Amino acid sequence: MRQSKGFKLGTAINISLAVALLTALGFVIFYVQNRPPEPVTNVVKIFRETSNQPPVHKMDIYGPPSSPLKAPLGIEVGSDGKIYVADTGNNQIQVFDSDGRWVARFGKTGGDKVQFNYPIDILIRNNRLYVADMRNNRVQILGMDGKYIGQIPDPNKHKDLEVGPLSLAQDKDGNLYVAVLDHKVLVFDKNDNYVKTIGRAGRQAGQFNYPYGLAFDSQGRLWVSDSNNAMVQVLDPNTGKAIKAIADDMVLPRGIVIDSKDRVYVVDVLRHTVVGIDGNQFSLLFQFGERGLESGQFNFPNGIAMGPSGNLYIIDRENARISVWGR
Amino acid sequence: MRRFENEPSVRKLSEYIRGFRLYGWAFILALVVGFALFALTTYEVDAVQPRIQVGLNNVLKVYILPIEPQVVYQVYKRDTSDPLAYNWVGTGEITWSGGEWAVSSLSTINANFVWHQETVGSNYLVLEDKTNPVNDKEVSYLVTGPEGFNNNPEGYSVASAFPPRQNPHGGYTENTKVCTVCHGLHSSVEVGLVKVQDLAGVCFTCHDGSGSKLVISRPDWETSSHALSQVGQGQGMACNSCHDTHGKDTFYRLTKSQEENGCLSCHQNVDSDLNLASSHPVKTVAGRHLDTETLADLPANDRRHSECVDCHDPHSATKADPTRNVSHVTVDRTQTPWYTWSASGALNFPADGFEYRICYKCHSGYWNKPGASDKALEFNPANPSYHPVEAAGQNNFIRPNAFTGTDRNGNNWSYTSRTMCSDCHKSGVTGASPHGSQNSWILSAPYPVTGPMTGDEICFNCHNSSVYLSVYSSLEIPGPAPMALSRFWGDVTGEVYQQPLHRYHVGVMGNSCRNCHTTHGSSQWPRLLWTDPTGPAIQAINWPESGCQTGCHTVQDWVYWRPAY
Repeated sequence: MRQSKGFKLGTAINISLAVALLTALGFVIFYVQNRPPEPVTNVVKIFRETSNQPPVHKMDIYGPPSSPLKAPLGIEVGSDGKIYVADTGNNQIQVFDSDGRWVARFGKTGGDKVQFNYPIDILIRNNRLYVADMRNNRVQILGMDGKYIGQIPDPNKHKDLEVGPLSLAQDKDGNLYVAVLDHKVLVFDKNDNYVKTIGRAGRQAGQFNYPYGLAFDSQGRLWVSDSNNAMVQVLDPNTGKAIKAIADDMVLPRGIVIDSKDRVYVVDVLRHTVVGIDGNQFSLLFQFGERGLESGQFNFPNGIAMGPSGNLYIIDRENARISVWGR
Repeated sequence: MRRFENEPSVRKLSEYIRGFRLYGWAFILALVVGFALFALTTYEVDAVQPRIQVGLNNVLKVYILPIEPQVVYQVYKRDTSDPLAYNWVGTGEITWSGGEWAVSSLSTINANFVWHQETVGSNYLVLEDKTNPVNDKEVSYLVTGPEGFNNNPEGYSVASAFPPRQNPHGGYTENTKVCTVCHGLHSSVEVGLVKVQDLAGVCFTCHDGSGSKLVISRPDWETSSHALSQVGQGQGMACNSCHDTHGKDTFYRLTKSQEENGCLSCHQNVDSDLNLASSHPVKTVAGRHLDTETLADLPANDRRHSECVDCHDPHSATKADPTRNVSHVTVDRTQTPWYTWSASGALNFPADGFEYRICYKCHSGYWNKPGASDKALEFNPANPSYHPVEAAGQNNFIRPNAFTGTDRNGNNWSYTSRTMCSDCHKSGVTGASPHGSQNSWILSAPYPVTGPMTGDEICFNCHNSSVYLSVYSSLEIPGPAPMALSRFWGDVTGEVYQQPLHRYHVGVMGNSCRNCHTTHGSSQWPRLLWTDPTGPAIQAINWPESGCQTGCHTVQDWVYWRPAY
């Protein structure tokens, strides 16, 4: 075999083949990435996709000039469309009808019956209003007309139970869930007897840091806005074990509500947006809202509720109004 | 392998590599990978000193990283109250077993020190110190471990920190996401992303209690003098007037200045009051106050202090009610114990008439100044006599004209009035409040032990000197005296008519009020009379209403009238 300097035919063929192969590969990749989209042939498919579009802003509801809302935080909507607002800064509840017209208000500052000290959330349960009366360390139970019925903790039923309520929810069996300032969720049965505690303070899954938001999906899973941990956790309420933690794009998640299609709406207070999450895939569907004073913008949104027609009622705290969104 | 006869015998590297074959290289690769895996999964090698960090709820944590599979650590603590001594606070052991780290056989000096792992299975052993008050004091921890621990042949390591400079809002240097907690990134209606007036909207998102244990009442803040003030281009003060939310070089609770320095930078009249001869020791003590303190947190002899915020809540104070919302002692003498410490933030705390509840925090049996009397015992309305601080007065022998001047509401003093501590204890200069005074005991006028009295003394601010001091006054004439304003009357040797005896004792004989009267309340006699066996004052009183034996004379009868009106 001779060692010759200079150009070798064999090497040249090898190099050419390699270059050709790589170029062909490049074309294949380019084509795959940029091929024209398939024509849409399935109309049902389009409908399903557009239903995951975000809702649009419909209207704003303000308190009447004689009693404006002041830094409200919580909201609930009844099956008749009546809107109940925890008007926190005024330590009262204000009621509006489904058209947004003011109906009534009740409560005042204090610690006695139908008095509040920082009412922060409302839940309608068994045709009663449950009000998270935070600084009075109780959940007050009122009739739909505002008459006093009782409270949790009840001195007869709940000895030594400390309740600093942040958020309220109920599951499909009618059990009451109360997220508290101790970074836990207390569970009460249909008769308001204490059953158990879920979770504790901490940063890990199944632990909470100001759990300010509770909701149940159609599968009975408990969704918790683990606010100061900047995430939303999905738990099995029977075991308290965390199924999923969603932290992407979350800053201070609070108000949370889930519709019949298991779309989860989470209010991110300090981003002034509402995030829509697919409750099954745990993926982000959309988000809407931005900071501002104009109609359709938010200035520290907080609580959220869903009306019978699927409209969303979002507390716009510093703008002292309810922002209504729908499809 | 040789190609040519003349080739040198040294082989080329490529021949060596080829010669090694596959198995050799595979073996070496396996060795390298195996060693790397072993090293990475067993324990980390980290020459970083044990760190101190402020965790949730302001507990101090000392992080210890193990360097061997089983290590015993001793932790000692030193704070500046005794700078020479490190005191043992805990012994901890961490063991590598079953593929993870486990904490075992621990002991601590008391329940305030708690060992645990950072997270289950992690190799960080954490000693939480819950006693350390988060203030401006530096604390040091000395951790001893095995020889060579942290490259120290003697096997110990020291770490120190000023806890409050850790910012509970988060680590801004690395984590942009933390910035977005307060700042809008791409959409904001304000220049600078967070405008001063709007700052309350951000801060109250959490500091209303729904996101933090440090709670400010927003309605109180919005009606406070600070919020409504005209400083800062008329915008009023905002959270960042006093707090640095980013926490660089800050003090307790992220304040920009240490304790009273922040307040006195604007409240300069108070600053000058605090420099007077007698004052609350605001400027002389530092690093002791906790905003959450109760009596249990304040062991006597160690934490006596006086700071602006012991009496004033800067988030709440108004001109009309400068002590609004501050912590205080609730007094209910039907209960046992009859003091209860009420934390700050009480709803609707009325200042008028209840000022003494703030003073009682320190000037009562709760926490009295060594050598001082318990004012709560003295002002007890069950006493035979008392200045009417806790309850209205009952001495109906004092006629209206025996008083002079008005209370702070403009009403003339009378025997049914209520007084407040600061009616007497206030600055003689600014006249406003008990910050300091040129007179002893922060009084607005002198209060001498011995006479003669001049009429400038504090008693005469309210008790008419014409009645009690003047040698002669047209208000009272010698003789039978249905018009007598002070009912202390009697015979005086050499006088035809009976004399007003206050004027005789004080004005003529040159006694001071304090010769016979005590100051706040007397558990012995009505009229604030008291017997003082050690001094020249009353030695004994035969009650009712006749006979006084003093250090000056034996029992004298004296008579007084009780007119019908």
